[in-house]
Amino acid sequence: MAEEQETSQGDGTYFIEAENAAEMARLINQDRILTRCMGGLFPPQLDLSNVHDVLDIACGPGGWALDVARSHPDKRVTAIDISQIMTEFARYQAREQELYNAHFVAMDALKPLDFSDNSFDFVNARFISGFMPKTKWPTLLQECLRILRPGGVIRLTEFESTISNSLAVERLCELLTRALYKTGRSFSPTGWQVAMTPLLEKFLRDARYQHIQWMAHVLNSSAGTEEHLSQYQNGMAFFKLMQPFLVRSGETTPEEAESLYQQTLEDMMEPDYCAVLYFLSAWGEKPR
Amino acid sequence: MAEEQETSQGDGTYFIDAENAAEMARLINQDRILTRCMGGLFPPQLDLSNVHDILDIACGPGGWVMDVAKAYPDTRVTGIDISQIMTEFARYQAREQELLNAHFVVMDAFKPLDFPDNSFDFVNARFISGFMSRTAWPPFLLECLRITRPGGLTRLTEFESPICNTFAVARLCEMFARAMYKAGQSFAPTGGQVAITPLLERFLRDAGYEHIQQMAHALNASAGTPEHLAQYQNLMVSMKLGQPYLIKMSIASQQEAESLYQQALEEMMAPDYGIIWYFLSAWGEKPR
Repeated sequence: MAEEQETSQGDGTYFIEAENAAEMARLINQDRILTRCMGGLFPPQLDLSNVHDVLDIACGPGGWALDVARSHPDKRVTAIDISQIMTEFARYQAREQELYNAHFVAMDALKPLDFSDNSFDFVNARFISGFMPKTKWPTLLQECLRILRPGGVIRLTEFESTISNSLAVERLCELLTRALYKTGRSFSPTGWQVAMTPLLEKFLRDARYQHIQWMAHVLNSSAGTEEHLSQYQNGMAFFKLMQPFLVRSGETTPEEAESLYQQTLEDMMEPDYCAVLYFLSAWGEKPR
Repeated sequence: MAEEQETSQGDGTYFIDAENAAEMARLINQDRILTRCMGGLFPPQLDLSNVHDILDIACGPGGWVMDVAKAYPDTRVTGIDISQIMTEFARYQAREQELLNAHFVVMDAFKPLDFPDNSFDFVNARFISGFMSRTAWPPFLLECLRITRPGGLTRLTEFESPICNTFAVARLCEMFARAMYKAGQSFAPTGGQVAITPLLERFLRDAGYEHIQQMAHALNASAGTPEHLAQYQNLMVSMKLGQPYLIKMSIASQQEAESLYQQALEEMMAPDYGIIWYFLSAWGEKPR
């Protein structure tokens, strides 16, 4: 769902303040859980022997980039994020773990990317729709095409809104998707969903990527599942951090937002609480 | 989404008339597409050498059963459905294709199943929430557990409402989900979604199944994808067949439903039309 933003980037358009330590802590935890739900760091059946230079766009505190650097010491991993504290944190982590093949640069993904043509074999962008204005997708994908080597692969991964049997969770998610639509970042005109994931394939196709594939992932955080507690903690931070954005959007009042938040925390601890997050990866190749 | 039910079963609660030839034609086409999206007939890594007797609950026109019977001639496959014309059609097809290991029986999945204990190694139920009431799931799964052999598997596969970037299609899908909630069949209190998929794991757990796993699938039928035309036809039929249900459940007037339907048909042919269905399989093992 929208609360799954991994990053914080671009012209203040991300709906949670980019330089926020609580947000950083949340992202560090979410990162590994998402990678696990995706079944690994790279798409299945990708020939990694041709992958030497990897770029992660909107890397947040750097979890994915550090994992790649650790499990593939032969690859050079570059990761960018607009946030100073996130990239500094990631750089510190890389030094601590002696991952000399991981590099972190503060860079705005909404501007031309500061890399030369044909620089990377794999470009990764996960959960960036939180700061991406709808109209900017084609531009970013053209930029990625430029910096990818022929035969290189780009992968986009985006989420839809959480599906739950809790009225408060549903209501909060609906407020968020409406606010995202109002601010030009989601695609669902009725406001119930983000409706980003059906378009990933089309964005890649329109930018002339080839051999496009996609794959669905699920994060089940219902009571009694392995991820219940971690997602309770995630929700506790995320739903709090997004309150100012909901209020600013005019979709709700501070009182309503807070009362829904309190109800959400209660609902999430109910024994019959159920919630699931669907997300989709789509990847394609730059023509050779 | 609600209109993706593959079957037609139980106390007249299915929202499309069970003995309808147009519905049968629709299901025949959908069946194979869904199996493809699921990556095959069985869960990945299933050891099929231990699978001899297979049951498909609410088999509709029998697509899954016949595919299994064809691919695994040494197994015995039984399909049950409440519909006379569906089972007759399936039986005729099996004879035509000389699939002597496929059997079809008219049976109501709401009632105790007419099979002895420990009869099957694999019990399959795909898209049955269209006729299942919320309260019917626990007793249904206990019946499945009873007829599954120790070490055998039961697999449930259900849909959420599709996620779409156009107004009328999204609105109609929400209406179907709301009608289902009103009819006691779906789990999302605000009715924007079905919210059945987060519950599958718990239903299996509560019934006593072990080693539960789940896997997400996506059917992307946006403009420009290979599935676009097939799903245009699917929605054209199912949204029409579902109209009386929306009216009966007082969700929409005839006029409103028809006008949304006409607008939806136009939207689905637009070049930037985006739609995706998420569905989830969850399977568990009967304790040995």
